[in-house]
Amino acid sequence: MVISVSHLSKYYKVHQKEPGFVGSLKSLVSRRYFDSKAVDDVSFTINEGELIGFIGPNGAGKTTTLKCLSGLLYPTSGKVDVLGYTPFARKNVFLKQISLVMGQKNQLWWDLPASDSFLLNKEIYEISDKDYNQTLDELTTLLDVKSVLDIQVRKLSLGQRMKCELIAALLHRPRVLFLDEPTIGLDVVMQQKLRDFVKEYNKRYNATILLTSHYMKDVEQLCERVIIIDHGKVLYDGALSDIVKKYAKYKTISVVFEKEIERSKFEKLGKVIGVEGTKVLLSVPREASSKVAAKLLDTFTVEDLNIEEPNIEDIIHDVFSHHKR
Amino acid sequence: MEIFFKKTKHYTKVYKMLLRLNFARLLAYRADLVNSTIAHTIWASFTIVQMLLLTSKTSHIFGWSRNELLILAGMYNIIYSFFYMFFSRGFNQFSTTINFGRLDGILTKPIDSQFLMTCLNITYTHLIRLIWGVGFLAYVLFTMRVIVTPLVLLGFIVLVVFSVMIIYSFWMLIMTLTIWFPKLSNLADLLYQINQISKFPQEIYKGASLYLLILLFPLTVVIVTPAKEILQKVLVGDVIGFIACALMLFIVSRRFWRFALRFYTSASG
Amino acid sequence: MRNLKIILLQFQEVIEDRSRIFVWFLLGIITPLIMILFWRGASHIPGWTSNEITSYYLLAIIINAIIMCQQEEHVGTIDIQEGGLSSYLLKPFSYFWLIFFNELAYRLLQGILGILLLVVFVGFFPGLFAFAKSPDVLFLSVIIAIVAFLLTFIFKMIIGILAFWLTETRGAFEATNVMIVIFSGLLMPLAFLPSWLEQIVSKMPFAYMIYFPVIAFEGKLTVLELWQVLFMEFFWLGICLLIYKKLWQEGIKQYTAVGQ
Repeated sequence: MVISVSHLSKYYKVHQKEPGFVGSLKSLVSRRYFDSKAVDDVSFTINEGELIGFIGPNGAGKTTTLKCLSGLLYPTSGKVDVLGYTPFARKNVFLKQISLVMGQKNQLWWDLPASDSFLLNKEIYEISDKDYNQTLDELTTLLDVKSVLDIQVRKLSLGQRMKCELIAALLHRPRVLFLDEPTIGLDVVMQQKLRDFVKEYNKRYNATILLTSHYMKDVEQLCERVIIIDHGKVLYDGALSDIVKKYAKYKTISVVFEKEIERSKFEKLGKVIGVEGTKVLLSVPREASSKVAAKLLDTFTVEDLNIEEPNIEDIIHDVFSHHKR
Repeated sequence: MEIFFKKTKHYTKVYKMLLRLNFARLLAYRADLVNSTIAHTIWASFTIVQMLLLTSKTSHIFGWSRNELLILAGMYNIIYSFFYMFFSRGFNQFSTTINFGRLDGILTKPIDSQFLMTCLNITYTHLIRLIWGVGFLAYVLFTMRVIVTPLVLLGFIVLVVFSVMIIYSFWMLIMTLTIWFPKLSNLADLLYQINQISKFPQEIYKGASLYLLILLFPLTVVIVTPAKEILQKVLVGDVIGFIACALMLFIVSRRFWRFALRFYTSASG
Repeated sequence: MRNLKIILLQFQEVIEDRSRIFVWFLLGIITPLIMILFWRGASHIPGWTSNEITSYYLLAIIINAIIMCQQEEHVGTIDIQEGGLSSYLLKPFSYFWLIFFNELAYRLLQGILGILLLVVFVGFFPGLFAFAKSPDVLFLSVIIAIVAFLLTFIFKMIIGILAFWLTETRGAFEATNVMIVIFSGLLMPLAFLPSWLEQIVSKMPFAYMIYFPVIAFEGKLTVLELWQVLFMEFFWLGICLLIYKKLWQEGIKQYTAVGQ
């Protein structure tokens, strides 16, 4: 067990201002504060080598949880244990084994080549020459940035810069890696490259990786286990595939008929979601989907038929709306 | 004990790298060099010109002669150019570092956060002001026919180190307030002004408000004490009190920073 | 009505910024206060009483707070160099007037703090203050102060828009600030400068930003002299307006041609 979180809560005091000019004058004199529950009684454990996804809408508490785990925030209540240490104590021996990468925040020195910033990190993390050279070689090969290491960071493209930032964060081969919204702001190609890298890194170094994202693709491709957070509470903690089974009660059958069929003929088979000429979309209960498909093929002349899982995004959306009720 | 040596070795290695990187950065930015030279020369001259004008129609201020006041001006340039060279950029960026959550990146590193906040950047261009200061000081001492023996010079250098320590600790104490008031981006500008206090003889502050004096006391002696030393007018008691003040202030400022970090909420949730 | 709303929005923005305004205020009072203490120890002050010097610096604090516009950094660095100007140009409201009301709001808030400080000081040390008493003088002094504000604003606008041509404005801004501190009387009354220097400096626009408004309120000028000051202020205001107009036209051409 590498990470253990027990009844973690983090509250913030936020003040509210009335809009308008009068509101401004009022705020000069008195301010009203209220408690914002960023994280509310969250518990989970994570084992070595796992690749976990934290998903939830903006403001759900994902980043706050990550910050409590990396020692940046002092919990309001509850216990946090990472690699046997209390993160908030921020002991150097603990910090040398973790790494926090936050989407767009940059560490690299702007006017110097990335290799210079790497050397600084080497000294800060007290990495031996041998380890440094080996890790640098492996990472730069994996990310294919060997040729840009000696170019000023300001002259690099966003993609190259991101890769170098990542390397800088991984030179010390952390056992635990916290990735906060790593694909935000990147183009589709870069996003994929990043996902491939994270997957490879997890396999090769057996690093425990916690990833927050609100892009489903990140989670779908990388994480076997997900923790869904909303309004500071854990809504679900388990295998991604189980979510589908548990929450996705329906499947979508899309069928293209040879010619337009009268609606009443297929209405009984399932809930009609959409009709577009000869194409019809039906929502049917999971267990019945194969039967309905067979029936359709039997009864009508079908040109094309597809049985689709609902979008994971839609499923999760459902999970949230369930929770709100 | 062993830990102390290991730590010292570690920080020395890191600092050597910082000296190197900042120098490389200086060279990478040629255009800025010209501008900085102009700006620093202006500020160095301003300090001198200011004192010249202030004493143009007055011969003495609280017993300090014009030349002695000019020594204060030259010394101000020397000591503050050291302080600014090693720490000004760090302090200038305090507010943005905290406001934009970059302190996160600093806190997750296995090295002291105060060190990273204040010592990361070295602006070598302040050496220009240092050179002006030294040149001017030497000139005034020469016209005053003050002889500076190697021993006096050594004492001077030691006091300069502690002066910088006092200024640094004072700045650290005030800038730490940024954690509670992250919107105060002009706190450093305020401190640049407060530094002016040290340019003048201590005597002018006697009789001013007691409360302010207690708060700002350290700064009032920061230039005056090394100045008195080089003029060989300083008392042993002054020096001891000075060094004690420097060490105490440094310790307090560090404790305060560590205390403040508990309240850091970091940007965005 | 819409204009009034926009103006109020500027004020609102500024009120939000109140903690920084307080820090700026403190910034502005430190050197004058040091100067008051400094002159206490002077062996010889040419022609001024100790009270007059103290009043000079206190008035200078207030006048500086109310009159010394500081928009050149915002205009030069944020708007012109970093391209913020583009979004302003798209708005159906003149950039100049937006900046004007924004700066006015800052000055007024600073001025309130300055007057509070004055009230505290006069309350604690009533005898210490030398101030004009006759209504004529006071009335003219107020006009002088208002025109000084306009003059300073236009001057600082000129400095700010130099950013259209300079890539590094820091040198220009620093040089301007140093000149203002010395030549406007913030450092010390211009009467204390060596006579040859005083002759030159008292004809320059800087002197009309701080020095003349301050000694006007102190009652050191006759009514005739007050009118002369006013005349010079309008003279410099006119020149600055002309320079500003020309520079703005040229600058805007260049700015929009480059396409920020």
